[in-house]
Amino acid sequence: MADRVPADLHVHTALSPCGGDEMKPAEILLTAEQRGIRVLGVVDHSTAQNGWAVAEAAQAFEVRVFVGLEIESAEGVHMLALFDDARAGMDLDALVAAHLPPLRNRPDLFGEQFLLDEWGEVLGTDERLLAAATDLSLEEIAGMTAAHGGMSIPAHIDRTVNGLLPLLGFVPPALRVDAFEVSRHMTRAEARVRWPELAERPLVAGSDAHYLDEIGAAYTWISADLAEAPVGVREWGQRLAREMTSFGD
Amino acid sequence: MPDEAPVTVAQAAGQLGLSAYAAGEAIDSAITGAVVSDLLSYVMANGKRGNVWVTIQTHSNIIAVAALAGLSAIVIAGGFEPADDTVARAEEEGILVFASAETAYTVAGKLWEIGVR
Repeated sequence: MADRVPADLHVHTALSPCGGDEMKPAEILLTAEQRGIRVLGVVDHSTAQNGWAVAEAAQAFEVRVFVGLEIESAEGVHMLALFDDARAGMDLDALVAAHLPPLRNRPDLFGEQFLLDEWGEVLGTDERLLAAATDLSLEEIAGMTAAHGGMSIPAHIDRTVNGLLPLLGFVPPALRVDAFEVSRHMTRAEARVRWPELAERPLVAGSDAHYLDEIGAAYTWISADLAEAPVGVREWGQRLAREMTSFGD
Repeated sequence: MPDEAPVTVAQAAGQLGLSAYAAGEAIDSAITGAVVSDLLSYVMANGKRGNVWVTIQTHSNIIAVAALAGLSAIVIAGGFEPADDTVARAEEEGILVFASAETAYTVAGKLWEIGVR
């Protein structure tokens, strides 16, 4: 049996309004490292502006990091868009920005949205309502992510709040993504029983951590080979898909 | 239109037989219109101050959305009930929450009938 290591591809920073103020680059990475997480995905709602800080800080840790966004589609479904290059994440960030409604955040209602540097210093706040949905369809988001060289994963597909399956009832046949994330509230085996159409689909588990203690609350065992594979995220996503279709839970 | 004066939340609740889960001073405020949607993002973008929101969503995020848009009340239709933390949050934010055993369609129809435009 090949060595396997844990991956958690869904963790937020303090830029996400619902994210705790403690979600700073070094703290996130240290927690992940201490918990044995070898591959981490760090995203924020509707933006990737803290991605560079996380990527910068990651140089000091034994964790491979993908950075990107969690985008809400017009249907209300959340999708992760992950990149190995913070700049590619920012290219998608700019596109997404044009598709968000012109609403301002209400920190008293949704939480603060902190822009951070690699030391966790607060550089400012994002004034936009990052909790809003774009007017982009799921298929459009998947297409844009692929076009920018990233990997796309519908998030927490089992959750009634912003989860693909409760919201749409089925996986759209034309949707091209790398894997589907099941939340920490259900095992992937349970998800395959609940939604038989997932039987042949690549599933991952992710924590959706908004606080440090949630990092690794759900994770995916991946091969050590994959964890260390010296390939870009697009190829990585395709290898992940092949592995997750055969490993299961 | 049955009445010249705008319908208040209290009047609508009475005439529709709504169950109250979170009350407040705003109960006597005038209803400015209604929005029917289960997509929170839609209500965030399109809800107007003073509107009543008819939905089958019951989780606490609906309160933040209602507060953002300045809605007067939420009516949870379809026989669903607000979650406990939804009621707690509603009381904190001063958002009125009601429930109806009738469908969202019926609730919306009845609001129209009593003059909510």
